[in-house]
Amino acid sequence: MNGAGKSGHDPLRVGLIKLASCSGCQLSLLAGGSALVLRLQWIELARCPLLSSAPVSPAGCFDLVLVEGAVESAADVELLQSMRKKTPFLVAVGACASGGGVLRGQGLRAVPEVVTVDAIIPGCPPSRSELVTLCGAVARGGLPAPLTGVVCLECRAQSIPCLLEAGQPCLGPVTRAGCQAACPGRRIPCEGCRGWAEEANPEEMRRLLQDCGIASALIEGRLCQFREGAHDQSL
Amino acid sequence: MTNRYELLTRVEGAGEVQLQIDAGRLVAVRVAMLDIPRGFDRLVRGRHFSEVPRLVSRVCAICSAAHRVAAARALEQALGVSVPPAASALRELLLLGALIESHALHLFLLVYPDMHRCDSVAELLAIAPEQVKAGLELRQLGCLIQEVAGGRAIHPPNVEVGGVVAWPDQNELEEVFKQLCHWQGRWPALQGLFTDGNAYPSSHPVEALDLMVANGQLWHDGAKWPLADYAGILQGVDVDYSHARQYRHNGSPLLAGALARARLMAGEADNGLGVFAQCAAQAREIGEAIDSSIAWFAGNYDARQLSVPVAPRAGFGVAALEAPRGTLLHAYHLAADGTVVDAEIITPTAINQLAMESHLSSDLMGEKADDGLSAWAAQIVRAFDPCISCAVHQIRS
Ligand code: SF4
Ligand code: SF4
Repeated sequence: MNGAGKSGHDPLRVGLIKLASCSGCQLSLLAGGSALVLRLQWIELARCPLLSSAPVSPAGCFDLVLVEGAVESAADVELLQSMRKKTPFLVAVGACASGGGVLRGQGLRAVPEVVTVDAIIPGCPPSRSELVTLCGAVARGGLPAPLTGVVCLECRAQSIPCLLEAGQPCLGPVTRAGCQAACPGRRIPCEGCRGWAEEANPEEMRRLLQDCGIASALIEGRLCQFREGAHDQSL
Repeated sequence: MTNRYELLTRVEGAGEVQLQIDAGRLVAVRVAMLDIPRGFDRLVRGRHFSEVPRLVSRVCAICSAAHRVAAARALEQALGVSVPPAASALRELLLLGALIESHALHLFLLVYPDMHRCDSVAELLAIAPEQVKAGLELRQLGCLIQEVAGGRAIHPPNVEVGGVVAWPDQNELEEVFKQLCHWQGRWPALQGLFTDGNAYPSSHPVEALDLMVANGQLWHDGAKWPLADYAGILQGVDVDYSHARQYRHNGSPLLAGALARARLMAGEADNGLGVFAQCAAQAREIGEAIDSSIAWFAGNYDARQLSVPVAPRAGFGVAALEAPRGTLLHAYHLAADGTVVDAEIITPTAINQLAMESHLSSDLMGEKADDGLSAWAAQIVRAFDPCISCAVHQIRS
C-alpha cells in the first residue's frame, strides 16, 4: 500500500465508487472553476468513471477510496471488500453512504454496515471544503479531526438571524456543524442533511418543530431523514 | 457470433454498450442502463406532499433543480394553487443556472476530452488548459446561479410546494449579474469549439420523433398535445437488459434534449453533424441561457410575496418542463390528507434510450469490430448526454 509513506510530490490516488446514488457527492468534490484545476493537479482521479475513461488496473492501490451511495447487492459488497484491501483509507461520503439518506427504509444498507470505514463525511451533498480537507489530511497520512458542534453555532458565529425564532422549522439545533450554516445563511431552514450531532436533543427539537406548526405526523420524517443508524425508526 | 460488453465512461451513472459481432463486423447493438434502481416512485408513496420536492431532487444531482421544480409544479396543480409571480420567476432563473451547469459539464468535462483523444479532463489540462479552465468557470457560473436562486448548487432547498422560501440577497444577485455580463462577451469565442464539424466523427442524421414541452403542451410530431395525454405519447416498455424503462411512440424512437428543441423550434438542420449536432445545440443554448438570465434581471419582482398557503386535498397533477437534457415529467395522485398515492417520473434519458440504440445501429452497423469500435460507440452514446441515475429511478412493473 502506498498511503502513509508517500513522497510530497506524487498526486493523491483517489478512487471513487458510485453505488445507489445521485452522483451529487462526486460532483461536490468536483465543484469549483479554477479551484478544481488546482485540485486536479494534486488529486489523481485513479478510478472515476464519471470523469475518466482511463482503464483501472485491477491490482492498483489507492491512497483514498470515497464511496458514494447505499449498498444494494452482493456485488456491491464484494466491490467494497476488494477496494478495502487496496486502500489504507476508505471513507463513506454523503448521507446515502453513511446512513441511507433519502433511501432510508428502502431495503438498502449503509456502507459502514458492510465494510469497515475509516471515516464518514456527512451531508446531502457533503460540502466541497470538507472533501478537500479530507484529501489534504490523507495526503499527509492521516484523517481530519472530526467536526463537533451543531449548525446553530455556525449561525451564531456569523450573526445569521435565527429562523426558529421567526417561526420557521429549521433543524439547526440538532444538525452536525460543518456547512457554515449554508442554508440558514440564505434564510432557508436547515433540512438536517448532515445528520444528527452527538449533542443533539431530539426531544427538544420535536417540541420546537411543533411550535412552528409542523403537524406531528410529519415531524419524524423531517427530523430523521438524514440521520445515521437507528434503522429501527419506522420511516 | 460474440458479444462485447463495454462499460460506459464519462456519462453520469453506470451503463454499458452491448455489441454483437459476427465475422468481425458489428451486427447488433444495445444500450443497457445499469445504475442501481432506487425506486423514487415507490419511495414517495405514503409521504406527505410537502416532503416530495426534498426527496425527488435526489433522483439526480445534475438535474436536481429540474426535478425539484417539476415536482413542485405537479403538486401545486394537484392541490389547486398557483404560486406568486416572484416565485415562478426565481424558479426560472434557477433552471437557467441548471442548464448552464449541466451543458458546461457535458461539453467540457465529458465530450471535450474525445476531441483531443484524451481519457479525461485532467489529461486535457496539459493540452488545452485555457479552454478547460474556461469550461470549469462556466460550469461554476451555473452552480453560482443555482446557489443564489435555489440556496444550494445541488438539491436546491429554496423550492417548496407553494412557492419559494426566500428571495436572494441583493449583493449576491449583483454578483451573478456581473458574471453573466462577463460571460455574454466571452462565450461566443468558445462556442465554436462545439459547433465545428471537424471536431466529431461522421454521423447520420438522428431519426427519431422530436419531443419537447412548450407552454404546458407536449410538442411532438408536428402537433401539440395536452400534457394530460402524456401516456398516449410516451409509451413505456420494460426490457430485460436495461434497468430503465424505455419509451417509444407507436414503436418509433423519441428524441428529447437540445437537438430535439433546436429541430422543433428552429426547424434547424443538423449541419451534417448527425448526433453531434446535439453538442452544437447545447453550445448555442448556453449562449441563449446567458442572454435570458441577463434579461431576467430587467424584471420587476415583488419579493414580499413568495409563497401561498397550501392545504391538503385529493387530486391529480402533472407537470413537464424542459430539463437541460430534455422533457422531464412528474405526475402525482394525492389522497385527501395530502399523502402521495401514486407517482410517475419520466426522464429525458429514459425517453432517449431507444433513439440511442437505433442511432448506434445507423452509424455503426457493419463496421469492423476493431479496437476503435467501442470508443466510437461510447462517443455516440455520450453525445446523447445520458443521465443514468435519472433514467433508472423507477421500479420496474
Ligand atoms: S448523499 Fe445526497 S448527494 Fe450524495 S448520493 Fe446521496 S442523495 Fe446524492
Ligand atoms: S444548513 Fe442544514 S440542510 Fe443546509 S447544508 Fe447545512 S446541514 Fe445541510
